[in-house]
Amino acid sequence: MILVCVKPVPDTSNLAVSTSQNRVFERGKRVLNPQDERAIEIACQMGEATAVVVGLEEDIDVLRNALARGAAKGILVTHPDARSFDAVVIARILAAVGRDAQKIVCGTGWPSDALGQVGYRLGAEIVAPSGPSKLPSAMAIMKAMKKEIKKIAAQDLGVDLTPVSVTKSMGLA
Amino acid sequence: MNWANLYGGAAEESEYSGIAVIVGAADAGKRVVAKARELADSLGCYVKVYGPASDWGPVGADQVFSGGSILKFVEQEKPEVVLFAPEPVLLEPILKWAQEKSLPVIGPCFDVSIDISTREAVGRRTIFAGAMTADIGSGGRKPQIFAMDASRLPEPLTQASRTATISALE
Repeated sequence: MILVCVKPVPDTSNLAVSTSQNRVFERGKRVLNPQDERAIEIACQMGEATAVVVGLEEDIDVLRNALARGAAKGILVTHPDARSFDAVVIARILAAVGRDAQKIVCGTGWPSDALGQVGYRLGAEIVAPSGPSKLPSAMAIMKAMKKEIKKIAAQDLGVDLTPVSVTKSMGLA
Repeated sequence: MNWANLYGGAAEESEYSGIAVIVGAADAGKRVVAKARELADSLGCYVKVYGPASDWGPVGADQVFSGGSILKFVEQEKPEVVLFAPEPVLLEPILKWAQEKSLPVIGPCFDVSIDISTREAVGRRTIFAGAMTADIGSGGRKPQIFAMDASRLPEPLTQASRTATISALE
């Protein structure tokens, strides 16, 4: 199996800023991390790629996007607290899912805000973005609806899901 | 006598000391070393630099280590806090080691502060593509590791008379 790790990230074109609450709200569903688009392409060039997303049930749309971009199968690992999982926990989950993978491919982190830690923590092949990726065609999007998606509950993987980092406070920049 | 070590247990919290900086590129490294100096002065501890032998003393290093490996350095010196600029050559060994030890790496941070009474370090970084900032700590786990966005740290002040001892790791 060639596993490509895909991260659901906030849609930065759809954020609401609340100065009274000193925070940002996500108004819509999360989207496929742009840094992962190239990783999906590279993984598909290697062979039959399986895309994996760790998130909420609604992140199935991110997985379908990955399937439309060429991944042959998808795995959605869900947990109600997925949004609070840090890189240590995400890497544990992906290592469990990719235990039998010949290769694991990860994009670099979300633009500007992230280190792209998970790939390094997994010892995965890291793919940096290089130019724009191809948009999936309407046909590819339709075909993606018929591709196999396996759903796994994170708590069934037998890994420690306790986040190790602690967020002390947050506020508007 | 450290009974925990004698019987193979985890190092006690008091055995962690010093602020370590793991450096790659000199320019980014100097800003991070200077930040480490500021933190070390508030805690009253050493700044230990691991990387290519260079003149880290004037920007705030007390000790410089080279040779061996990043892993050997951290496990030998047991720093309380580790800072580094997230260059790819450093990210791979540090993050692999951090995953083995179940340690978070907070970053990229544009600032780090330490509570002197609890010795808990907190890194400040942006989230939501820069729309918000968050203060994040490692929940008491040590060493506390932070990847620093060196471009957002101030130019280091140098003291030409300041020197650092240099040691080679085996």
